[in-house]
Amino acid sequence: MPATHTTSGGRLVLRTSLGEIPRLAAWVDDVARQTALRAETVFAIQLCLEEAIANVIMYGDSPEDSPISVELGFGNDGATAVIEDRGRPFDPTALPPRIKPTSLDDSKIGELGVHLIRNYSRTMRYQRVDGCNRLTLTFETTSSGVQA
Amino acid sequence: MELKVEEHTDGATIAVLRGRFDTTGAIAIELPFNALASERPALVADLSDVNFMSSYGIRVLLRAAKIAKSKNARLLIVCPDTAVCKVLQTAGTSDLIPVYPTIAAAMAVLG
Repeated sequence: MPATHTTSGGRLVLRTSLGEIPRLAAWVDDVARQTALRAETVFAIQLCLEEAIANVIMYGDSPEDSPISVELGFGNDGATAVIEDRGRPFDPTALPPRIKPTSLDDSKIGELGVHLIRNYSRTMRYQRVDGCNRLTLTFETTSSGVQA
Repeated sequence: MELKVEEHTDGATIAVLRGRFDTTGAIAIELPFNALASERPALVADLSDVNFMSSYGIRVLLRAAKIAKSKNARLLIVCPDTAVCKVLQTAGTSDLIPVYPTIAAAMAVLG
């Protein structure tokens, strides 16, 4: 866990299955209740974790028994989420900014997840460590953090 | 996630969605929702009781809007000014599919 954390929100290990998404949502809700986060912050954490983890599950090419771990921590400077998986290397920070579609015909079904993470988190950092993807997201805890 | 269908006498169909429009919720309603978009001349997706929206939910809405357009039909969204509405704005979806704050406002547009 990063040294900047002053309080641990805990760690959750998920299987690589979409059936785990409700368990992720319930866990974030539990952590939020214990830490008295603002509703906007909880929504942003829920959204970013769901986007990142659903992406790993659907496109990471990992077997179902491959674990995905999520850690949440809280400090004076905000909240931090660290997501680790053993899927194929994928650096979402390297994706170019999404081009806003101008018509329904031009809109692509996809590419939205990383766009939402960029807009609902304060920072996004990627590392490839010991065969794992590690995505670290930070969130404001004193304002909504939504830059849209 | 729940999907309830209300037929109005003026020809519009309201798809009332309730719960988390997340990945698993969206997958659960995707097929019946697409069928409504394909079969109804005017479909209103009421998100008033949706408390969460992820990109997969937006994907379902965009796909349904494309289906409706291909059938010369219309899809409108009802979404009050909530966190869910803000996700639609952040994603740019509200620039592509008309969004109204109330059922009455959407129905007025449909005439």
